[in-house]
Amino acid sequence: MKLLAIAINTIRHVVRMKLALVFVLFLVVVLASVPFTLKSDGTQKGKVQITLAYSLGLLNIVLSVLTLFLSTSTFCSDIRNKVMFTIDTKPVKRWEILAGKWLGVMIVNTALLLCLGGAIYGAVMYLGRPLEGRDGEHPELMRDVLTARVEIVPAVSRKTGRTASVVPFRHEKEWVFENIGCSDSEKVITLKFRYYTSGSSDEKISGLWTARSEDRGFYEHVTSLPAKSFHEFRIPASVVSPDGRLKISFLNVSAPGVSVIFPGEDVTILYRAGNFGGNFFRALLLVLLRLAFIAAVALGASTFLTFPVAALFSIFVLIMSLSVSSFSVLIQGSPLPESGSSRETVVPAAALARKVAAAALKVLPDLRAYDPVPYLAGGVLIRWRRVIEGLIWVVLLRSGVTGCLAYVIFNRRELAIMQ
Amino acid sequence: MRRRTIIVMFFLSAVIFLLAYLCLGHLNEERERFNLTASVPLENAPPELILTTTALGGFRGIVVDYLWVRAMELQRRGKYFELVQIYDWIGKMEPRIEAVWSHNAWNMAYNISVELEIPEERWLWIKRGIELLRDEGLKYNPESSLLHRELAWIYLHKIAQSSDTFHWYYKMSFAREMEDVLGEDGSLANSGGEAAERLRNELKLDPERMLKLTDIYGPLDWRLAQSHAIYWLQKGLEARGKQIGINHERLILHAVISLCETGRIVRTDTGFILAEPDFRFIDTADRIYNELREKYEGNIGLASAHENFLQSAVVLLYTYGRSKESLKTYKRLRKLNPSRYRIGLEDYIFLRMRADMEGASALEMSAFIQGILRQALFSLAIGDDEKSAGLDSLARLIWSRYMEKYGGTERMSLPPFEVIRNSVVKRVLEGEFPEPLRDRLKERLGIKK
Repeated sequence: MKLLAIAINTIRHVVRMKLALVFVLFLVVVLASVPFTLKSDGTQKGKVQITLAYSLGLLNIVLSVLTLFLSTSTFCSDIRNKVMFTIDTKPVKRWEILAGKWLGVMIVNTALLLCLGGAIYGAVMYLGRPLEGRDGEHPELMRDVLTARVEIVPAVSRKTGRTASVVPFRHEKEWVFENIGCSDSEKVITLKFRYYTSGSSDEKISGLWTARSEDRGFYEHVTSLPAKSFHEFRIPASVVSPDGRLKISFLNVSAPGVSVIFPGEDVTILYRAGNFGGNFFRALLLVLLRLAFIAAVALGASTFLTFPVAALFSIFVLIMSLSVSSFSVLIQGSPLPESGSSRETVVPAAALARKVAAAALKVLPDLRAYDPVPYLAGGVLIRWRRVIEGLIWVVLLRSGVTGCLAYVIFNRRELAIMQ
Repeated sequence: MRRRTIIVMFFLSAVIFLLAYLCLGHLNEERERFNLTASVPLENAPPELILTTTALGGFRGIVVDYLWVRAMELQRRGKYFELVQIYDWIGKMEPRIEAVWSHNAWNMAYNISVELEIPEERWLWIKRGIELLRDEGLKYNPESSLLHRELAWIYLHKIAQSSDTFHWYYKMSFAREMEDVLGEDGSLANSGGEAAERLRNELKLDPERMLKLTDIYGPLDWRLAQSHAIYWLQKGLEARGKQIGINHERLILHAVISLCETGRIVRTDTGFILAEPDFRFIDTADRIYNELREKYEGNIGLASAHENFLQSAVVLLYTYGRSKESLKTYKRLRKLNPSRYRIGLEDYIFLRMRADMEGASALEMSAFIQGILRQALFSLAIGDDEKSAGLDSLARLIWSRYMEKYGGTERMSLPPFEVIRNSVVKRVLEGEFPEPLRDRLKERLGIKK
């Protein structure tokens, strides 16, 4: 009850601040202009994809910034304006004050996310309606974007990482796919692939594809397609074994001397496993997880920093959390100087710095991994497992630990000194 | 702070601003004198461009770098839907760097388009490349010869020539889109005020300049990509004046030669557009060659290219049954190099053909003649009688000259001309031609259905 009272008080504060109103107005104007101002490739599919990607991306960013400012300002202004003195003298524990503030900010976030997310969903469905004179484009849009497909990489590739393989003329390459949750005889699965060639890039590569499983027979498909770009063809799901296994092989029949190169993970299987509406809802949940973490960090920073410093600190944490994957690549990517070289003295310091950076990155959540935009724009299913993972790792663990630290600091803080 | 201090500070800052203003003119002059200005500021630029180029300040470079990386990553992953927007932003952040516009337009028209399997999708990307250069790049760099040349190259090479698998689709789509603006004949003279508006606003073409080009180069058909290539090249030429290089002018010549070869649109019953030679441009190409040879005196490449062009024109005109024009062109050729062209026209035509067929066996010669006859029958079926007659007489000429030389040797001898012709007729009527064409051919040859 106390929590709810503080949450309601926070919501009132947010409404009084007008900052949220300015942000919402800005968002509404920008989101409404997105379909008209952005340039796509001219297809209906491209238009829907770019609207979806940029609208949701923008919503994500603006709400993150809004959450950051709301959380820091509501806490800091309460201390600055001595409102906190009044609350602190009431029979309310300090953790309840923190949790109540967090809850209030999250209620505002959820409301905004539902309203604006709903508007984006409506706009996308409107743009994705069948258009007169462009009938051919709609099925492709429904198949590739306004859907929720599962993308499966080969089992070997999943275990060993990216490794390219070369298939010489009249040679065969096989991939094994596991856990395909689609063996219904009436459904189809899609094989998506890309290859490169040792011959001329203009030349078409001919190949015989075979999809088979031990107890469900086989399906053959001949392709003659150019290299470098992604291609797709459909396979009846009836060839997938009941335990979800499927072997796909490619026989190179192009021309003597022409080898085909498959980069790692560029052969995948896609199949429909849900609808766009459900996927969009899960995408909004992923956005909410990010906002929960930012609110926790911003409130935590406000317990011991002034408003501008707390806001800057939170922005720094947000940027770092969005760049975890990029920094990880940088840390792992560049080799350290060899011992014995002229820069030998640098090595211990560099190695130490690298370890510290790696440890720091482990503390932060990789928010980009929970970015729903690439999933939605590519029509890829966001699994519930992903949402629950995010809930555990981002909200319960990172936000929880941040909240505990914030409580310890706030609990020890002397809000005022008796004169 | 006391009020007096505030007033003093205010006046002090006003004096400093005034001094800075007075120094600005002199500083700008000095910057220009010592070449310290890397790029000329944009004039009449839209607000969003001012915002991106100035308000971002030093962060512009970081944003541009991020956009480049993102564009490359998206292209690598085959996710193209965002690229048009990203290229637009990159261009607007670096509006005066010509290479940015030309690279991005080329990437869309050439690299991305060929990664798609469907001609409609490829065509959209070629158009996006054209639009980026025409609507954006040239807006901020109106005097850039590079951008004019790049735009013309996409028209000339990607659409007008046959390097791409779907080049027929591009030609047809382009012609249809221009017909939508100008009407079915693609002529500027028959189009009204609405068409002029659309030309200006949608295609960024100035109708007056288009009419002027018709005076300079001849009756340009605006449904053809070559005409548009000439338009943009000429615009670049006018913008840069004498600073233009030979490559720019050579490209104009290249476009005119392309019009000679495939500058006439022929429709078939199925609506397919076939580009046929337009002999009206032979004189134009010859004139440009002469002008360039005069301007770049001593350029051996130009002289030999001129001779090669006239040689091809002589054969092409003869093939199309235009013996008089062929002879006229042959005389021009003779004027260029009197010692080399002493023989008569028909002997020259045969020599050219024989040079092409040097070392051919009787079977190969027979196949060559049959190929020409097949083309003659195709032209007859689509109603191009003039070309059909020209090809027929060419096949007959090759046969007779060949038989004059090798007819005495049984191993080298060919069957009678009519036998070869009848076998070709039989074959095309039995299924080599599509059904509507077969019916038309039977009708033209007087064969009962």
